[in-house]
Amino acid sequence: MRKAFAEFFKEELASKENLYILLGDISVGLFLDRDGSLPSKVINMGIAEQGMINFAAGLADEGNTVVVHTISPFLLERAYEQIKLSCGYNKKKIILVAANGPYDYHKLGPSHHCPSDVTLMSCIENVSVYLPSTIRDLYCALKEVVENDGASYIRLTSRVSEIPVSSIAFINDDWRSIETTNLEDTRPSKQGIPARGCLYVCIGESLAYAVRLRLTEGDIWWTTRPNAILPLRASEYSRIIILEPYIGNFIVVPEEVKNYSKIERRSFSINMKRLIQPNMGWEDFE
Amino acid sequence: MYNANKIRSKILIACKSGSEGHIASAFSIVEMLIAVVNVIESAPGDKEFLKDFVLSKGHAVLALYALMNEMGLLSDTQFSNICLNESALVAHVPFVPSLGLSFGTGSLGHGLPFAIGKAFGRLSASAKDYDRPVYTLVGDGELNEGTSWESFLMLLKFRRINIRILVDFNGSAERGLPVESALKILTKKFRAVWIDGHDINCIKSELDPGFKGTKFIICNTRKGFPLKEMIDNPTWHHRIPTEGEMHQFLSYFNGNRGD
Repeated sequence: MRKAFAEFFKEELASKENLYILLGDISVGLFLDRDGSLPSKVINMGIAEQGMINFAAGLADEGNTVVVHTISPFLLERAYEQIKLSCGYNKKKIILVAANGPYDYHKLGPSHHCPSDVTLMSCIENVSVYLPSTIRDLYCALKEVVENDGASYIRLTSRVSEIPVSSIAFINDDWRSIETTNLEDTRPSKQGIPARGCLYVCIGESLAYAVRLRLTEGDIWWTTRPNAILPLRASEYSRIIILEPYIGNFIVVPEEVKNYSKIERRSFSINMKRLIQPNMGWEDFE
Repeated sequence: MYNANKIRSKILIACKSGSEGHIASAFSIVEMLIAVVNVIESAPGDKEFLKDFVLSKGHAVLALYALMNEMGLLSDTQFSNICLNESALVAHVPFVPSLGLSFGTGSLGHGLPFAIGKAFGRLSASAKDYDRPVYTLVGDGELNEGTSWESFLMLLKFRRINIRILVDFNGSAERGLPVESALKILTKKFRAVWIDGHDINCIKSELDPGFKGTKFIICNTRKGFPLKEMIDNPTWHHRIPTEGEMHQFLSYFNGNRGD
């Protein structure tokens, strides 16, 4: 996904004068031209995240769109005050792109983990949050944030799902699905339609969890927006399991759905993960 | 030329009216502000003081409000509402784009890297304010912050940017960390001068708008200048004057030239 992010912006740079990419000394190789140099509007700002955000705000104040990219805990936690003030209060258009999901760097230890990212961003107004699950999701999110006013946060992940287009159905602007024809007549549903069994609701890397661990005894819906509202059609399912790969519960379940379906919510624990384990974080979904 | 005593009188009035503000910190930057405005207003092209100037030392905002009122950028009504209910004019530089205030400061250490980013943006050939200098004013205590070190690194990387960094060196933070020694070492790589921060003509001459590059203008100031009751008196860092003090201080300024 990191490569796709770089490819997208290399193309954007070719057509946009007022776009800058600031790198926190990572992903530099992905942006190099053939002669081994960085394009003039791609700047390696080194390992100085707080200053980098303020610098980005200054560039934005001069009428530019600025992308800031580094590893998530340093981008968000280290420079949190800068994001709060430059993006939230001073409304500068900065596109924050975190290189990784919460536990992508699982072996590097808690200093490189950031399960709090969505919670932190939810406390700052004027920042739109995107957690793409597929490369296609990423491109849609990037196009949107480049066009929109205001700041945004996009979390890349190494736990990418590759879903063939033919398998995807679009429920609405915020929701996509992979559905089976798995109907289970366990209870009368509303309107006399036989109830479906189980629905997995995913965002970001939890789509990979649902797909890779073959949770296909149910249907899977996913979104890229943590505060997306679950469509009412979800009430056709007798059981809904919401898998949120961050600390906190953000996906909104309408009352009408709660009245018909049994809802289970699983998200990442606040406890620091000190011991290395594969698929770190996903044990919190069990 | 704007009158320093008139601005200081307005600072006192705003603080008393709004029951909030850092008078002594605002007093120490008055001559610097006047000098910057004069230089910007004398330069060719668009004269947009607030687009070119970043007050990173946000708690000195009463001086900025007073100057803006003198300049007609802040009406008398708006000025009289500073720090009162429903007003966006808080006791640190606010984000109020309709008044030309596009970057609120208050937490120290934000304005300098922001100003560097602005100056870098102006190097682009398509920039609206191509190569116009950016002026920023930081406090000496503010230079304790880690982003100051990051800013120095950026200044070394982006040698071509056109920026003037005024340092309000009133020495009040030396009781914490030794900024003076660090500043002398770090500014060696740049054009830097140490001058009397209350001499408007001296500051103006050092702002040097024709120079292309980074210049530090380190202004030796007295916090609370020129009132002997306030100078270097820590109790005046964040204090509202009594009615008696207001009468005494305003009489002093009315009876003295300030230009």
